[in-house]
Order: sequence, then structure tokens, then C-alpha cells
Amino acid sequence: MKTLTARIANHWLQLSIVLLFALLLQKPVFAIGTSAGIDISNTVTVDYAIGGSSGSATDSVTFRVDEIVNVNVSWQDAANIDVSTPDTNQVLTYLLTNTGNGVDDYRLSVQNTLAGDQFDPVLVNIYLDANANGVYNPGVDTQYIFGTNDPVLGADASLAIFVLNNIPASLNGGDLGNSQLTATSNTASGTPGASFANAGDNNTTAVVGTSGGSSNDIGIYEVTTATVSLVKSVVISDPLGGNQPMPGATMTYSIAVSVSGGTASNVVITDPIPANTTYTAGTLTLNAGTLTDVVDTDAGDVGDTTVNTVTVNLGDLTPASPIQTITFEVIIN
Amino acid sequence: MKVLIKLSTLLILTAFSSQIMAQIEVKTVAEIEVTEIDKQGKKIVKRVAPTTVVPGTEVIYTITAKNTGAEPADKIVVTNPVPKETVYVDGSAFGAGTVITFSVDGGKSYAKAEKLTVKDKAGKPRAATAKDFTHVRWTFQFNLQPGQEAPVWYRARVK
Repeated sequence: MKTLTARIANHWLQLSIVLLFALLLQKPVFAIGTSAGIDISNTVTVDYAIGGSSGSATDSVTFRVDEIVNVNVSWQDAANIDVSTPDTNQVLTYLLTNTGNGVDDYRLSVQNTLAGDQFDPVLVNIYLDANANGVYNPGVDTQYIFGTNDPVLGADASLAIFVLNNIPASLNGGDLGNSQLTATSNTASGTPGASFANAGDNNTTAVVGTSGGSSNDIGIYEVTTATVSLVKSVVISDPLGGNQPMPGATMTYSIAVSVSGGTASNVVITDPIPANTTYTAGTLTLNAGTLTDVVDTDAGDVGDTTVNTVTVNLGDLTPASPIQTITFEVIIN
Repeated sequence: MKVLIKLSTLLILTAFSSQIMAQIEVKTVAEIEVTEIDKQGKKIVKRVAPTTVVPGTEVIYTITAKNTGAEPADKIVVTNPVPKETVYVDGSAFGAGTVITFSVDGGKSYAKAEKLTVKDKAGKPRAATAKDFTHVRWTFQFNLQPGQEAPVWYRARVK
């Protein structure tokens, strides 16, 4: 199970890196606009003539730009996160973006009891992307504590947020589990257009933008259960040149192993030597390569791990792995 | 004694010249529009001081020239650079009895909106749009009589 988790984690690490580059290349569609607290000044000049001599006069008016509070949360993983059942510390990656025009901080929360899925993930922790690489790094990224280290973002700034959930046991393959991350501005939230005097940067008025000062998105886990298929066949070669199962006949067994639906880790095939037959020493093969009969560095043995039994360790197999073929010969007593 | 006379002459002259300078006064006011609903449920658009302005807000600038002197003033030209944090709102400039021109080169030259061009990224000229305008200018076609005041205005959207 550990191996399976590690493999999936590694798989998603690579995907996340690709995703990070995609993010870096992607420019924001909308400019966030003039920063809160900036003074905008309009200066006008009038030129004129009176009695042939010219003169001029100027005036100006200034107002201060207030803070519009907007935020966006967006699930970043390219596809559902494959998980086992049970599973631990499965990472969902979100991007939190300050789409307002001032500095803001946000309280984060996770809701896992959502409709429209088959199971509820169990929250472990939320982590902030301390090293700003867009990828969850255990021991490096900072655990989020509600109200204590609410992430602070300047206008247009983004931060990756990682939600780690455990996955319950006894689920079925294909089951989905939704996990929702919500970020809410500490400056202002509520009905769009609502304003809060002196709550913005430089004591400006904070105005709730179209986001309502709060945003959420749902990340999805999907249970994958691997199915290991074994197809066993036999070819008989009797001493008379035929194919009758008579004493002295050689039976060549062939076992084809394949996996579907997910990653199967540490696949071990065991096959007892049939009663009333004797294994022919030195005939064990894996994918046409000979394996010794004793336990050693190769993948299999006969009778050494378990008495009178073929044992072949195939390691981790995925649906993409080629079919693994094991053969061995026995003689009918 | 001579020095004193000269000094007082200078003072009078100074006072006189500043009086000429004050013949035309100009004042600019910034306002925003807010929509309120009255007791009958009708929407009323009110102009108020720009107490709450965020990116995207349209600000109405009203510029009023007033002749505070005793003689009529002519050749009146009001020039207003569009604040750099804002974008001129297309078609919003107005001034009764004035010719309105715009600049797209920081106030070096002015022309009517439809005659202005700017260079695109490839260096080819294209028709200027409202967001290219750097200055608005109102050239009065009438004289401002003593005591008379004339407002002009435009709208700018906060970037």
C-alpha cells in the first residue's frame, strides 16, 4: 500500500509541476486596476485673453481610490485524484488569488460533507505553499491554522493551498469524494456592493466586489481499485509424441498476468505444483527469461519460499504494464 | 522716502496685474453617480461627491470657467489631461458652444476624435479609441461676459 501511495504521489508531483509552468505562463485576463489608497488628481487649465493680453488659471480636484474586495479559489489538479481505499494524506491543490485592488488576508475552511458524491474525505490539514513552488512539500509547506496564519496577498497575488484528506476504507472502484475549499476575505465580505468605512488599505472604504469577498472550489478524489487477471493454460506432451495426460507426460503451464483499473503494488503470484506431478528443475521462466529455483536476486523460485509451490514476485503493475508471462514444467507421476 | 514711493508703486502694480490674472476663474469638481430607489420605487440617479471609488467607477469631471472681471474674455481654451489612472469614456465630453478636440500624444497636438490615429504594435497607424486619449480640450466659440460662467464636462473610468 505504501508503494502504491508513493507512486501516485510521484505521478501527481510530475503533473503538478507541468501545471505550475502552465500557471506561470498564463497572464491574468483582467488587470486588477488602480491600487486602493492611490490618489487620482485631475488638473485643468483655462487659457484666455482679455483686451489682447492673455492669462491662464488652473484648478485641480483629487479623490482617493477605495478598496474593492475580490477573491478567487480554483482547483488546480488536471484530473480527479486517484486514491485507494483506505488512503492517507491525499493532496488536492488549489490556487488562491487576490482579484481585488488592495492587500487582503483570507480565512480558509474545508467542507467535505457535500452532495453529489459517494464518500466524504476526512480532512487532515490545510497547508500553505511556503516555498511558492505550487507543489506540496511535506515538512516545508506551512500548516494553516484558522485565524492565526491567514494568508496575506497583495492585489493580483496568488498562493497555492494544499488540502490533505484521508480516504475511508471499504469504498468501491470509481467512487468519487468531493472536498471544497473556501477562502473568505477578512477585510470585507457579504453582498456585492456593500461597503465598510475605513476597512480598506490606507483607511479607504472597503467595497465588496462581485465575488462577495469569498470564493470556493471543489476538488475530487476518485477511488481506483486494481483488478489482477490471471490466465493459466497448459500444453501436454506425452512420451508417445501425443498430447495425452499419461504418466511421464510433460505439462508446460503458462500464467499470463495483467492489471486493469489502477496500480497493483507488490504483485506476487503463487501456484502450487499440481498433485501427482513433479516439477522439472530449471524450467521456471518469466517473460521468456529463466529464473533459478532458489530464492535469490531474481523474481521467482520453486519450493524455496513455500514448499512445492511456484512463487514469482512481479512488483508493481499498472494497466500500462506489458502482460507478464510465467511458465514452468511438471511431469505426471 | 524715494525708496518708499518706488516700493508702493511696485505693490500697486503687483496688485493690478494679479487682478487681471483673476479675471477668469476655473473650478473642477469630481462626482460619481449613485442609483437610489425612491419611495415610489423609481430609480433615481444622483450625482454625489466621490466618497467611494473603486476600479471601474465612472467619475464625472465638471470644469466651470467664470469671468469674475469687468471685461469680456475671449480665446478661452480649457485643457484637461485625463488622469493617468483613468480612461476617458468614449463620447462623454460636452461643452455648449465649444469645439472639443483630443490629444493622443500627451498634449502636443489636438484634433477631433475621428481624425486621430495611433500606431499599432506593428507600427501601422490605426484609428485612435477613447482609451488612447491623453488630453481633452474645449475651445470656446463665444466670449465669456463679466459674471458669466460656462461648464464643460467629461467622464473618466478608474482603471
